Amino acid sequence: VFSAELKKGSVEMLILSLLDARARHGYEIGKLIEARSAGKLTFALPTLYPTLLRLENRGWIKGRWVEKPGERRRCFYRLTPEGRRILVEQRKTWEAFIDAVKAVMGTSHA
Amino acid sequence: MRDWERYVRGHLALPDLARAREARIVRELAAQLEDFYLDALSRGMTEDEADAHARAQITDWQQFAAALTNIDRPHARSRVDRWSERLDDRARQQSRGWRLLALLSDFWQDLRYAHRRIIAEPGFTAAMVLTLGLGIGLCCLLFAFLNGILLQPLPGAREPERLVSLQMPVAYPYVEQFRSELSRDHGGGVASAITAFIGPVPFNVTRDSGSGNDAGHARPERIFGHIVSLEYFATLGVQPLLGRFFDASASADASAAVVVSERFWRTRLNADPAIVGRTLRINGGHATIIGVASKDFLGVFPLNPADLFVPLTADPALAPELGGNVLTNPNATPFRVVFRLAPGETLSHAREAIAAQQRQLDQRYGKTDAAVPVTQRRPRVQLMTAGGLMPWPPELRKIPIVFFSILIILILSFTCANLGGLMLARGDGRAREIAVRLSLGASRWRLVRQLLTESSLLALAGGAVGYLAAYALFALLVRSLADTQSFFAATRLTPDLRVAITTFAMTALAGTLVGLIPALAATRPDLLRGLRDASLLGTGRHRRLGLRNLFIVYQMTAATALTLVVGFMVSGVIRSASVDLGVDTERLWLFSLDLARDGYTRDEAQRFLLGLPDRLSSVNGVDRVSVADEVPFSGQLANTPITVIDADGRETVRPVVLQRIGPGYFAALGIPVLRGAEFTADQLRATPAPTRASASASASAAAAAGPAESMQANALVPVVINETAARKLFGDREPIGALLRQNQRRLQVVGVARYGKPPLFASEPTPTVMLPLTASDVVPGPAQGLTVIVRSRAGMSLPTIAGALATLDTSASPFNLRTMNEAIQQMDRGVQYSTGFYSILGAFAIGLASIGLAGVTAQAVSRRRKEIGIRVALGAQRWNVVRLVMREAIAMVAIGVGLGLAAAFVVGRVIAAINIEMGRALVSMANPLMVLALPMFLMLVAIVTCYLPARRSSAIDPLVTLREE
Repeated sequence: VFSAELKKGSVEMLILSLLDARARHGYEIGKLIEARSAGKLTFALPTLYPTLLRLENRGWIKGRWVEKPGERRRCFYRLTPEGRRILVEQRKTWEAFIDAVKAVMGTSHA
Repeated sequence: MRDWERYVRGHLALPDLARAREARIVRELAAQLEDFYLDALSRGMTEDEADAHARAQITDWQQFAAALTNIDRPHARSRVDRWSERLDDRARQQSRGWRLLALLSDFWQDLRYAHRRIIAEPGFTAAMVLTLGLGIGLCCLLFAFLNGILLQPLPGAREPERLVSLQMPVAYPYVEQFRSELSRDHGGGVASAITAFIGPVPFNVTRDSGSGNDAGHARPERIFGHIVSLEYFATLGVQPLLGRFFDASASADASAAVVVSERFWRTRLNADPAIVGRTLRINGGHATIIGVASKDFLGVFPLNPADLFVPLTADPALAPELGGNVLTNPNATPFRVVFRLAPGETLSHAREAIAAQQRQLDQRYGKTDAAVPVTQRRPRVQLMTAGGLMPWPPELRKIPIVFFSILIILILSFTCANLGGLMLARGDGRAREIAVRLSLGASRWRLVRQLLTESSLLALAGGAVGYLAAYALFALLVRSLADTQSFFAATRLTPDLRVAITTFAMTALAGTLVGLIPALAATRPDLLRGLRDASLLGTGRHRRLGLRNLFIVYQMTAATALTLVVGFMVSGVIRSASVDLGVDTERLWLFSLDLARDGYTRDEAQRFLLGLPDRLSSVNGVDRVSVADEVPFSGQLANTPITVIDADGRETVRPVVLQRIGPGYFAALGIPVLRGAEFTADQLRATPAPTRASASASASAAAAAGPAESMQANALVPVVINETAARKLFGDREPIGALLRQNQRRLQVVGVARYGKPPLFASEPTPTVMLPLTASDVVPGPAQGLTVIVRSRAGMSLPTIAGALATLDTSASPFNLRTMNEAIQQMDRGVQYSTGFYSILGAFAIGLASIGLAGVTAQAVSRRRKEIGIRVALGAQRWNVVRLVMREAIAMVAIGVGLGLAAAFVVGRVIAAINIEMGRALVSMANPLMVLALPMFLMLVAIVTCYLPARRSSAIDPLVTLREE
């Protein structure tokens, strides 16, 4: 289980990457993070939901109420072009960061 | 299962967020909690366990709410919103009254705000109000006329929409057959009642006083009235105000009975309540007033009002029109017929039935069309409405309404579109204010309402200005029309409640139109973003303004075309009004006489006419005197066919104007007779006078008139023709001595004069043939009477000429004394009004187009503030900036004017196709001066209008604009 600080720093990026493929609703996002991390990453609703709103207010994602056949109305979020640009940027930064961290930690072990 | 939305609402309070935002958050959270719940169920939990699981997702609601509020600050609600929401809450909880109060308080706020803004920009406000006032005023004026003339029912009539009339007057035997065959009472007909009347005809009326002494001294007054069949009032369904109307059973005493209008009773009889039973002296006889018609009733077709109603059974002494067996002669056709359609009867069926009767009658009286020239053929039976102020073809009833409506809509929409552009231009300047208010949480609807309040306030002011202006102008127009048209003098034609309501509706519409689109555009959410990253360095400018540019080009086109066509028309009117008639009008006086109504017999009239020149000439100051059946220069419609007999005896028929003049006519007018000479009094004494019957009735009547008259008809009647007639009738042939035939009379040309006034748009006068005026032309005479022309010597004034008239035979009562100049002005007045109206329309179009241009330019300037600022900062000169801004505007104006010229050309061609005379005039008047000058003027106006905002642009301070970001 990771510390809260570690998790907090990544939640925005996680959400953005999950929305990269298609539009999803809030509950689905939470469940997906949990499933894909094999239960290692979980975000409670009081953390996840305000993040969604914050991202939306920044104009990176956009929520829309959709009624799918056989389901209740849900607010589906999708990436805006701006969000997509940010995601690409963050991915690059993140990878660079990981590489740097690995490089540093690798040498210390050696 | 739990109601999750209620659950969330019960725990989560977000008082600082806009209400809509709060609702969205609650809904979404509820959906997610429900997902948790359902998911838990599907994983095998019990309902209670699942419920607890879902509820466990959010435990610290207060902290959660704080986090949401913190994040969602852009959606905070404003103080105003909170206040109105509190009112809303109360309204929801409490009564309808509270809800109204909330709305009112909003409205009051909006009003105060709008008022502040309007006061803050007096120039803008004045421009808006004036333009709106002009637009609405013009529409109001149009509708006032439409309403006053076409939409009014016949005053006092019952079920006026069931009344129809025959377009062409008929002979009395026709009326009798209609009555026996078409009336439901007598036959199985289509009408429930039928009446016929002659008129309006003038009567010389004097009020008999009790003693009978004054009667001889009181000057008779010329009053117009109808000579009516006894069913007249019953057919129209008019009720008497006093006394009774004619009734068929008492027709014996009806011969000396008369009904007067309420107006006559009020203005001439002092509204005497005991008037019934008193007598009036009418023409040569006396008649007893038996009734006063209902208020405002002025006869059928009150556009030509009637104040006196004399029965058909009256003595010819009372009404000369009834002389000469007019009730039995099938060739005398003065009777207008009015039918009241029977209940359930359709117009088309009635027309068929009437037409069938008319055909039968035409056959019986030998009135077949075969022998008649095409120009004189009787048109097919046409029914007209009789329940309005004037006759109108019922199938065309909707046309003026549709036409006026389209005109009004066009004017209103143009006005609104232009002012909308102006508002939009200003809206750009207010974008920041609106953005701030939106981001503070004001709802869009609220802002739209706010902007609408502002535009409605402006529209209301404009509407008031327009209504008052239209009201005043309408009154002015009606008063000046009253000089020439008795109808306008007769009716209290003022804009009524319907006009006021329509104007208010137009105002409301204008207010909404002017405000709505700019309001929607200004509060559009994505405009916010555009504003935030306002990096609009001219990019996308053309596309964004594209539609509006097109609109301006279109307006310039329309304005150019309109002003050009109107310009041509006005110059045509001015030209035909200023044409040299060849007459020195300075010392010419005209007055009218109606000898028949003054009680003259034909012989007495003959003696009077022969003696008139000598008698008047003896008055000191009178130079020459002559008479005519019409006002000089008034005849313009070539509607009488005349037969030209050439040297070989071949005959051709040509239409001409036929006038009747006395000896010395041209000498009195001071017009030279170019060839030959005009006929003299001595010549006429030698020529036996033809009778009225042979002069005007058709061939069969003349043939029946007896041998004496046929013999007279063989004598050659001397005539004078004008130059146009000489050319059109005889070509290169010598006109003097040439022969003409009119009905059975043979005419010989004795003189050719340069005479006549070219009709509107024509370059030369209508061909005119002038016959000697005889007593039979005067008794019974035309309704306007006979015109006496007096040329005075220098220094003679109105009092002297009036004094001279007093020396006339005491039984002759002259009327309508005026100068020749006044008479000519009267002839031109109708045309002057219409050109005046079109000129206003043209000026209005130019004004509107200019305002639109100014608005668009101002908008372009405000959009490019930053660019201009940078240019100025980089060293652009003032003139560079002005040129930059004006380049686009001038391009639009140039394109518009170019297209307008083309459009004017096309319109000219179209008019030419419809109306040859007018079209020829339009083409011939396409003088280069106007074609060049008018567009130049338009360009100038347009350039000045867009220079103003352009100049302001050059005053932009680069420091200010650059600091703005």
